[in-house]
Amino acid sequence: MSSGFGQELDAVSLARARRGDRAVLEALYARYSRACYTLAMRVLGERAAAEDVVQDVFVRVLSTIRDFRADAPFGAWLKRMTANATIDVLRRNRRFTDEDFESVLATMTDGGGGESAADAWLLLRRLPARARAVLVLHELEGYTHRELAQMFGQSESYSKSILARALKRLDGMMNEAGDRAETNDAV
Amino acid sequence: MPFDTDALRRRELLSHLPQFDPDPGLWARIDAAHQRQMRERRAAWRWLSAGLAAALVAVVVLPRGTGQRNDEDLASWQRRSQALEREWLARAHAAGDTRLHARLLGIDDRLQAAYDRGAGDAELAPLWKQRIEALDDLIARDDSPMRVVTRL
Repeated sequence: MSSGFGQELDAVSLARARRGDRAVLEALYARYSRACYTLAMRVLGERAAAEDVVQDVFVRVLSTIRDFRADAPFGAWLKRMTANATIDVLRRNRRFTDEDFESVLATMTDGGGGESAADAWLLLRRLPARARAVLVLHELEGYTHRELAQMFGQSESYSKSILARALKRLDGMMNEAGDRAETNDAV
Repeated sequence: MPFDTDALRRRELLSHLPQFDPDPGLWARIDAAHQRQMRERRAAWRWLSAGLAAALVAVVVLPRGTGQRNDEDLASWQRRSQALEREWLARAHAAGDTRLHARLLGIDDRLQAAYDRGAGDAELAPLWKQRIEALDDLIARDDSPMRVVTRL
């Protein structure tokens, strides 16, 4: 379910990136930018805001990769930076507008999901931004409640409570959608 | 153990979530932002270096500059004192207040002694100021007799 942060980066490329090799840095971006952007989009739901996150993250990567110690995989380091940058945007209390679905649809990469991808996205978009953030980071990116608590600067019970409500709401929406589909079929 | 159908459906739903590709021009913007940041850092570093250099100059050179200013102050007090003394001698037509003369001579003695032991500006300056005040008083009275004052 990982959105691409799990891709490995070989030691030679990492060493060249640390030395500031621009071609390698660009290749690094090409490899991981979709993962970053997808995470930010799933949480923020707005292309401009998600692109700002990717830009902030990669500018920081370019500035700090020299100091990257490789204690953890590069993807995990990048994912953490992306998650933190995305949460920072949420913390700034930005109000996200519901972006035109058709235009967002244009940036989706169809992983074979087709209509169900669009449906899944529409349901996720109906959750509040913070609930979406906890859901995406916990259920899709694999962060624990302890890690989420640290990222949000809240207690673990905060993260658990947000997630429980988000899941409940998602279940409710899925049931609603299922009922509607059945009704339409019957008609 | 019963199946949690909600959890299964949820998992199914989340697995279908789409991925998104950023704008193709984003890398160029990131690269430009990084270059700009590097330029700003270099500029900030230059400013910091210049600031440190200025601070160093201030620490090393300023005390000398302050000394020069003290010298200038002392010299100006000396000049003023000597001008007042010339003015007072030029008048030289009245009987003076002996207490004022004694005060002036006392100051001159202390000044001489200070110079003899190589006193610094901090000690000399107040004596020159006192001498100026004494001469001002003598002139103000305008009745002092001509006396020989130690020329310093």
